[in-house]
Amino acid sequence: MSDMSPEDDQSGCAELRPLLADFLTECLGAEEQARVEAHLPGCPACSEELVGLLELSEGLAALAGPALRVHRGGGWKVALGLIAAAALLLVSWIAWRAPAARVVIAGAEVQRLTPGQALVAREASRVLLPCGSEVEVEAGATLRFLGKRELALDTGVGWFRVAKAEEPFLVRARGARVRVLGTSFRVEVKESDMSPKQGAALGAAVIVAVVTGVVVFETDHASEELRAGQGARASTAGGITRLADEEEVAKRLAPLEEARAALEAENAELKERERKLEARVAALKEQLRGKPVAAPETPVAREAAPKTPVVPEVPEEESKGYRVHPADTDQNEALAKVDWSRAGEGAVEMFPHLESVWQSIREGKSISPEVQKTLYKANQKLVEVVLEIQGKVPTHTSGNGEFTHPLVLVNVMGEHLNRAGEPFQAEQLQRLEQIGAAYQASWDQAQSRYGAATPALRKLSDELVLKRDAMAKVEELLTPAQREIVIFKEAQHVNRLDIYSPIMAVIANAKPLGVTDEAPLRTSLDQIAGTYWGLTGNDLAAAAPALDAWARTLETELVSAPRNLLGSFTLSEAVRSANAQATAAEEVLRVLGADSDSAKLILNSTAFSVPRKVEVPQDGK
Amino acid sequence: MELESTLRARLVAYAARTLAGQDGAEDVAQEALLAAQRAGIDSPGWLYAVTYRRAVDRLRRAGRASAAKAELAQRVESQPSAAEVAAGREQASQLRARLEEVSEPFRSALRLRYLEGLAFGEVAERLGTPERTARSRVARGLAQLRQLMGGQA
Repeated sequence: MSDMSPEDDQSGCAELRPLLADFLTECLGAEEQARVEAHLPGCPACSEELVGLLELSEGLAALAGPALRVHRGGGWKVALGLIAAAALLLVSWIAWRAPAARVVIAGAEVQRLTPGQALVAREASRVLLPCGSEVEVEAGATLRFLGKRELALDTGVGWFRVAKAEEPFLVRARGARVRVLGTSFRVEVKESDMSPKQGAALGAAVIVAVVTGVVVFETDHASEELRAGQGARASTAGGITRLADEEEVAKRLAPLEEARAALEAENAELKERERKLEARVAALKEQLRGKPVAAPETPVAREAAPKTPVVPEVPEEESKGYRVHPADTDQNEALAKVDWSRAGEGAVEMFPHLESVWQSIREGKSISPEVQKTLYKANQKLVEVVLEIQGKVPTHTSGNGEFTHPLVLVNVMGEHLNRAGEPFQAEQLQRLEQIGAAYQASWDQAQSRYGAATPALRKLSDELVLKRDAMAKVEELLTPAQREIVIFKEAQHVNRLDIYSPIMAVIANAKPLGVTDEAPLRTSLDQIAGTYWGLTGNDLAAAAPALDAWARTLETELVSAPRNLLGSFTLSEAVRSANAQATAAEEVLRVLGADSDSAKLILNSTAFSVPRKVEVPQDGK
Repeated sequence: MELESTLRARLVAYAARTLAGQDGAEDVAQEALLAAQRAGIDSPGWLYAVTYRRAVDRLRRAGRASAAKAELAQRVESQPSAAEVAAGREQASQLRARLEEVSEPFRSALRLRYLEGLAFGEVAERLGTPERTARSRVARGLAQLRQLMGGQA
């Protein structure tokens, strides 16, 4: 098909397009690469082509099996976006891929697909179709919704429960089709199958097993009617063979039944938790009504809330839950709703792996899939906390900003310590509440200083400092035994590694900046001022003294790091960098004036660079 | 060697251009860099591709505030991506079949890189070539495959 888009008259397309694949695999010379990079922003056609090549490579990787990663579909994007915002947080410290289909935490989530959408399931997922039919897919399955009653299962295993309707329901699997009216059955797309009798490899196959009702299983060459308890296998050549006996069919169905039972159990557990939480919220509201609002909270709140007679069913384990309360009532309520025990569980599960993760990062190795999975699951439990408190705790960087509120961190820490058998003692709790109150007071004081001309980065920088100071006080009051549990000495306050560090607050804002002889700090700052603040020409010249000062502040304490550790900076580096950049922002604003073109950008930008001296490897590439 | 800061700046500029005046260029570039970090990839080509894709996704989500953006979004909307072709219409088996038509030594390079998931260094080791040759072979293989799949390369 000819594709003469208006962009084809762009200079360079003909010459540069053949280089795009090389650009993608990083084997162009510096000059050619620079030309491609210069060309792309003005040429959507070449950009599309580049994405086409990327997606082709993703398609190939998807062929490799269950580790599928291609997903492009509206509904999932929305869901993904939601979790990504929350997960931006802690999740970004590990090199795992964002899971495609997980929205709710425990597993039995329901997704709705509309025609045209595709689902790549990284974990077992359930899908509802507009016609009322239901599909459960196992991890690794790819499901596309082609039309009102038509689906394609490209890989993996799907369990279909089809709602009755006049129009037949069609499942396409490779070259084979399953046609039904209303029934339930299982389809499996196998890359290679073994013959049960000869033990010989049969090649790729589609296997269907029927649970209830009747289906027609067909290819271009053959067709079989299958009833409940029957199964058949279609080869890539199009032949269909019935599965030998009911036992084999049952064998195919068993794992799914188990999986389904497990999902249902999980679902029940979730509902139970939800019920308990609701009961607890109700109890707390009751309690608040009965109390004068101004009265200080009981320092050892573990005795207070759950033991009111309103919720006798709150189990023993939860009644040990920590609550280090803030003085402020609104926040009190927000934090009181949180199930800290889940977060504590997450922290406990996460900690034993930190050392190996840190070692892998240091050595530039990848983290094993098992560890990634464990960490992901543990992290999800922390994400739950974030979702619960988002927008309810003051911060200038929503997401991890709420999570790093000192009262949130100490509550998670409290649960962590509880589980490790070193709980906070009464006097520690009292002290923690004072730290929380002091933080609150200094937060309020800081906010009162801000005006219309205060850059957002200044506010963020201040927040980071306040949190650093508060958490330093928290660390001081820990006993040595407690420290052993919640502090991973080697990587304490390292970006992406220490969940109790305020540095978590700025994961999305702090950007590592490699400084080398070829790209010295001062030059890079010009670029940052150009890109983020929109400074050019005269404005950039006028800002030069401020940028000079910024460079001077940072240069003296530039830390040296190998490339793979460029992003593993520490809280103190982040604090220093944020402060220096905020100061520069204020100064540039002052010099250029509030009506300058760049003022809005400078005022609103919360990104900041953390420069580190990069050790360039010797092999020259 | 690419320096992250300057690359980042170029990605932001690229995203800004693609977004045609809409906010979020910084976010798009940052998302792409984060994704790269998670995937353990630091190829500028990959980052450009992901940045463009994310920018276009953002455009789609945001709808059309201006005529120019509408045009771009519509044009983009009408072109099925290779992934949709790969995971979609053409089926994975189609892709697999076309892969067999890619000539050697490029096919082996593609297999090692994507089906076996090896790093370029490992691909080179298996092929007994310098890494740059391995990268180039994978590139040629991709370009061939793109043509076989009815693309434009």
